[in-house]
Amino acid sequence: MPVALAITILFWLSVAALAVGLARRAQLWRAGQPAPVARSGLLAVPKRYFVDLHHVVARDPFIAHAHVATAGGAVLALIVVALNYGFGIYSEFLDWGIVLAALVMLVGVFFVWQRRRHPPARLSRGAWDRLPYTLAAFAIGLLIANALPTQILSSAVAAIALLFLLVGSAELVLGIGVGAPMKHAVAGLLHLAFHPRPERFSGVRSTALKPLPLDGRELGVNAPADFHWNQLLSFDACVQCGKCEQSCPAFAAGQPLNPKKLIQDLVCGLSGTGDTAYAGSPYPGIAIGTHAGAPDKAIVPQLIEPQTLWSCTTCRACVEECPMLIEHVDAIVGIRRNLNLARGDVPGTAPDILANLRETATQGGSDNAARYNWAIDLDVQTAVPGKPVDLLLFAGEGAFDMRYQRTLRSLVKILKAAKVDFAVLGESECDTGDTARRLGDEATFQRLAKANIATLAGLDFKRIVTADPHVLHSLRNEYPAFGGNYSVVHHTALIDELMTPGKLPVLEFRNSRALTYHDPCYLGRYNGEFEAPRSVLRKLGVNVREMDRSGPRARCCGGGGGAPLTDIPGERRIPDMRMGDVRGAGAEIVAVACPQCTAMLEGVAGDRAEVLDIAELVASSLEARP
Amino acid sequence: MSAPFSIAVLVSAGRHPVSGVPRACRGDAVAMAIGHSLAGSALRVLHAGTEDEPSLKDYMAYGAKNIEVVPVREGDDAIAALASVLRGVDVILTGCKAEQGAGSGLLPYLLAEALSRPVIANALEVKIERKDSSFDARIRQFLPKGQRRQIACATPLVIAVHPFAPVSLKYAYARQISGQIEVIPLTNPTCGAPQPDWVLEKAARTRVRLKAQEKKSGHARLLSAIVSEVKGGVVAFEGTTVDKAQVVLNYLREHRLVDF
Ligand code: SF4
Ligand code: SF4
Repeated sequence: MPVALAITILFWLSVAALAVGLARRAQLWRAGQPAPVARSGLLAVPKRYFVDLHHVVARDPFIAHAHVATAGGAVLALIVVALNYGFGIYSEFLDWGIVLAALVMLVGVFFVWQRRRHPPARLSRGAWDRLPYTLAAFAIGLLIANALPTQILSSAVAAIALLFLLVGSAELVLGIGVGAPMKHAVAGLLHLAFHPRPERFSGVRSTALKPLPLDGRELGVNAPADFHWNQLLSFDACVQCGKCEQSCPAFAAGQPLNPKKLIQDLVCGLSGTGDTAYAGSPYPGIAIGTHAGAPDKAIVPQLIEPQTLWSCTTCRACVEECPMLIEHVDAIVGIRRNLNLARGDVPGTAPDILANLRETATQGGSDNAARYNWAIDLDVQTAVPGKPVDLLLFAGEGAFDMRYQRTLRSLVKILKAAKVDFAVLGESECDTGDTARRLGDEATFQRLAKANIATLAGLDFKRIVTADPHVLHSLRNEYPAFGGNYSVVHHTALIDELMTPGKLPVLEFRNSRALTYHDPCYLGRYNGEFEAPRSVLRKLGVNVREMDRSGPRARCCGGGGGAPLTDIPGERRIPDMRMGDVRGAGAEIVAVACPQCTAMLEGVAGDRAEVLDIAELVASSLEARP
Repeated sequence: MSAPFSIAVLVSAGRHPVSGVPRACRGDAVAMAIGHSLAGSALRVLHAGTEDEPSLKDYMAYGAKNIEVVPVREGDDAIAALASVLRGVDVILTGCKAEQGAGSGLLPYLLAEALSRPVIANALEVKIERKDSSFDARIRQFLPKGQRRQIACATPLVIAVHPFAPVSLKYAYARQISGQIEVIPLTNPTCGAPQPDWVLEKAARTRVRLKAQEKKSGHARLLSAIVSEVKGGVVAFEGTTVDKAQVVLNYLREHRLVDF
């Protein structure tokens, strides 16, 4: 029985080490701000793990299977060890259960090892590279100790088994305390329980930024301790898989941003360390080992340089890909808010645009009374209080852009052809404040939002239609927090609806040129609308040639989040890469559904595909009517 | 940071040229930024007007912690009031002209006259250097057509800052809510000064006439001026309105007068 006793002792020692480590780490998380969380989240962890998290992991079947085997085997083995040794049952029958679980784990570890032999660039090395060995040690230790009959187990072999077990257990239980790779298991499960956006687990695409109280102690995030405690916890859940890095358009463009590194820097900040131990890709152009932080020390610039934060297009590709469901964009905008509101430190032309928004309620400093000048000859009614209409057209900043006015005019033409009862908002429309909000200027956003909500409150309409997904996102998802609840449709969804009952007499789109569709981030990932634009194109008889990265994984055009304004230099331009994707699909026309995408893609120099909005395509097939 | 010399900036009530919304007058905000770079928080920020002027909030956001308001009402003599407050101040910064009211840009000159000190206009960069027991201002001055000139002048003086001065304005909401306004009691109330009598109108944008670039030789131009037939061009009598519009559009495109 000495081996069994040793396992029992080791087990309880490990439990104690785990508890102490967790308490130490929890102390770090508690430095964060209070956040409302439901304790019932703990009960929901299994479902959130097996359904929501696994849904993301399963996109890479190889590692999904390897992880199921490794983690499943380990957890099963630990449960049985707890029963059999922890509580001193010492049943031989249960030993065989442990052996089985250890075998499963070993198979999983083999595949983890395989992946680590030729790792893709996105994976972090360093401490993560030792995992296959320490985990294998754990599984093999369990195998030897439990599979070999006690009689054969010489003291030498038993000592080796115990040594293996010791190494493996140390990896498993010390991680959370010292911040080693296995930290992800404990922090990850707790993160699932106390996720900052729990509604994500009930199938809601929770993408709206949270309102910032403007009389708060600190405006936005200055130091790591200004994050909510469950955000700090979420950073600790990161497994450094680099899925976010791989999907980040700014990283691919060689701009100084890498979402994985950003999360790791925040981990350094919350634990008061530096980034010397980080063994993944750097922020392009910024050396590793120069950053350090502490929970109550300012993040910028010692821990993260400002140009890193201002490179983000808020495209949410990273959030979409993250298997640990970490919210990078919330973290980035949180820090931007502090830079903007407390320090007034915003690069590029963004300060001018923000001043324009404050002073004219337009981004370009235009005369707001000219917002609907593009419709002056179209005989469109302007909404007035007391006159009910079905549909309100909300144009957004695109109204001042001569290129996008063509799209808006096409949309009006379609609405007229379908005999929709609609009105435009006229000069009482203000900018929605979307750009200001992504740039961290919550004060201007809230002022504009309140102005628009007051205007809309006086009007009688059923729905709002807009051709700008950024307007759509603000009105639909972000205004409710300020008391504006509307039914908002994107113009592609509305056109799709109008085409269904045959209200709209369209002809087939007579054009033999190959066409592809670019998903705007704020329509797709932010609002889950992938189908309506494609459905419209199908009804036009167009066969869409999908790009490799389309739908939820579409690459950003580079136009979101105020990134064209902060204009952080990189090696390439994001729209050029996207145009490359278009070329890769062999398309000569790229259909778009957003003024930003239109401007970014049309700004690509040289030989490129023609950029046409879906409204323009539909309107031109109306024109073809005899 | 405290400066051994005293320095103040005058800020006026700005208005956005298009929307008319109250804001920090850009030129004055630039002057204030220069003042901050010279003296940090020792810079005094003064406004001649009323303390409820909405644009003062903007100056706070641009970095004014405490704005001193010299109470001047419509019709009062702002120059005399300001001069009485600023008599002992070594360096007085102003913008080049206000965004509303007369906007004549005369204030720095009148103030300098009232205080009997020199004025330097269109300053782009200002450096204050110690010279024996007093201070010298070294100023890079804006001149038209890209020319610049370096000037040195002893304090006390008035400096009108050019709006192109290379500073970056940093607008921070937090400063806007923490800033303060203080009213300076005036010892000798000033009497009324004559004010211009006028009506304010929005500035109309001057229309740009679309004119095709002439690529003819001098001789051909001379001919077309004296012989009427050589003028060229097409008179579109034929076709529908759409056809005629197309002719016009073609012409405009050909001469690159429109870009769509
Ligand atoms: S943040 Fe998410 S996607 Fe990025 S490395 Fe960490 S776990 Fe992977
Ligand atoms: S939101 Fe987009 S640009 Fe920003 S870090 Fe994530 S992937 Fe990169």
